[in-house]
Amino acid sequence: MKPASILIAMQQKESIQQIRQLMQNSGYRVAHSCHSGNEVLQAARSMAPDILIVNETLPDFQGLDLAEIVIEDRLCAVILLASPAQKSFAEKKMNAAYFVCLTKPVQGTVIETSVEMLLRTSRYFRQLEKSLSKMEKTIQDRKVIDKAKGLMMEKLEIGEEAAYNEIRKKSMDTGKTMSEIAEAVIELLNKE
Amino acid sequence: MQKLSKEDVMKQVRENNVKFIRLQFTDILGTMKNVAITESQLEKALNNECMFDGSSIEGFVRIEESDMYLRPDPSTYVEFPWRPQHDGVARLICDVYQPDGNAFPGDPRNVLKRVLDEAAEMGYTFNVGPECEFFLFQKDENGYPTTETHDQAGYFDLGPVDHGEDARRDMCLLLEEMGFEIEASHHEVAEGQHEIDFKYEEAMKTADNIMTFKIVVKAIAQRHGLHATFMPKPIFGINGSGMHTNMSLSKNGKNAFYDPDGALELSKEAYQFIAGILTHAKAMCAITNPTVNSYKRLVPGYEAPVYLAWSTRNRSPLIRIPEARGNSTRVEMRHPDPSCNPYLALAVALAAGLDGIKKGMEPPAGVSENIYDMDEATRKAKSIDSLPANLNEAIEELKKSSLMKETLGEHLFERYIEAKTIEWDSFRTAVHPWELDQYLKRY
Repeated sequence: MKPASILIAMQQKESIQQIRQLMQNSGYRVAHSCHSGNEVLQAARSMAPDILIVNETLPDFQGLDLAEIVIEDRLCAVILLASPAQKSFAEKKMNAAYFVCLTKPVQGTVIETSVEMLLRTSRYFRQLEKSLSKMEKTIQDRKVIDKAKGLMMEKLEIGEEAAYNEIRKKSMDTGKTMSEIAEAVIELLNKE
Repeated sequence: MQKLSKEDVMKQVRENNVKFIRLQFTDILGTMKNVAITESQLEKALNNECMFDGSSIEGFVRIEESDMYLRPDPSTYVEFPWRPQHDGVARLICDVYQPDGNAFPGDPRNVLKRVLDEAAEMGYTFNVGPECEFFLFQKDENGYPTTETHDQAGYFDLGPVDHGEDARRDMCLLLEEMGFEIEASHHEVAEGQHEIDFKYEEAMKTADNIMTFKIVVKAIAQRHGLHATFMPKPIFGINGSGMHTNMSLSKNGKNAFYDPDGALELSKEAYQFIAGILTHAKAMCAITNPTVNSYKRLVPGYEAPVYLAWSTRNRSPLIRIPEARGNSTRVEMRHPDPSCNPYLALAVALAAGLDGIKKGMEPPAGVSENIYDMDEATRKAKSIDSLPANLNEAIEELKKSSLMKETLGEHLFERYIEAKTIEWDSFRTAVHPWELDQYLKRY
């Protein structure tokens, strides 16, 4: 697997330098470091990093607002460095699969562990989400095909297997998916 | 888009876990206002019992008559797709009513509704398709917008990705999710300038759509670290942003501007409508081009109109008739810009066109050559007049027009002129960078 890439957003040059060093020592690639939120939004969209490490305040953005956009738009997972007061609020608001909030001051080893953990959970969740949407699609397709089959059985007076075979054959002949064929069948038979 | 009833809205809010509903309306200057309510207050709002203090809003009322009621239009219900699923946000566009149950005369939506009713009495439906242009600019380190275009890769460069293109693609996807039919979306002539066109609709829907469009464009730009502006002419020397407005009337489901046997296949009504627009164009300018900056766009050389004429080919006049005929026959009004209040702009344009039809006006002959290449004498000979040169002239033209006064209603007419006069005065008395550049050293 290619080394995970990290985006860092801090106002202070020194903080960026520290975290950059830490990440590189742990074998990660630091894709870019930003001083402002707008820079983060552009970088996160064009560089597809795995994790954003962001301070709670930036000159133009609150770190939490930024984290929200980055996670909602599925750009990457986020580690927010915040005050203890903000931590509980932030964690309630965000999807835990893609988000970790660490309270400042934070130790290097804690950041390292968090990055490692977040990489695992976020990748795992991404996988889950992918298979979930695939499953939803399959169920949707099956519903359409069943409906088309039902219509064909009723209107054309053929058996279930014949209806299914007909849809499958048309699908193979035309290079279209079975659900596309089924939709066309439904439209056609409903018109008649 | 779907037509929803009150019950449908309640059901959708429940099913889709919407937590907040924004009740939206527009002030006379075209700024969208929001009253946010929670879902538990929704039923009350849908029963037209939601009250707000109108005295704090531009162009509304005096303190002693400040209570106003919002009447949400259920058919405008839409969820904002960029908000999280679990704490969803939706909006409803509202009409503004007075405590006595009468429509509030300072509500721009109400102004458009009145003119649409008048058109309906004459048997017409007014359809409008807008072409909105805007700029996407970089922000500086502190989040303030600059006039650097993204294309020039401003203060930092990430390589080959065009952030503007990326943002515009997201805007189109989200607008489609919100029920818009996007007809075209492209990069414009000027650097950093973009255009998104959506399908024509009945005028009220289009005006609502324009308001929605503006907030979507701004919100998505922000999520891309960019600033979107509908300012008509942000940069001297390159094209400004217009809002070309494609208009047609339909009668009994048929396009009333199309007549296969008419000259250029246009109907008598189409010509009368054009004549009405040309006659009232100067008077409506303060509405369709409402800012000091609007008039920096209306200068020769940048695809913006200056002269009051119409053409089937040339793009220099105020009105162009696009090639399409049949059901797509339409009149393209080229002077409005996106800083206008769309409700008022469509109301005055329709009123002007209807006036042309009612009075049986005839337009001057169409112009096929480029008016910018004519000298003044030729223009005079062809009696081609021009648009107001600045906001002050436009306000004066507006003041003189009885049709505008009648269309906007006395209340809004007066407040609008008052607000715009203040705007002009503050511009007139300010010392601008241009003056310092020119005079500071010389004198």
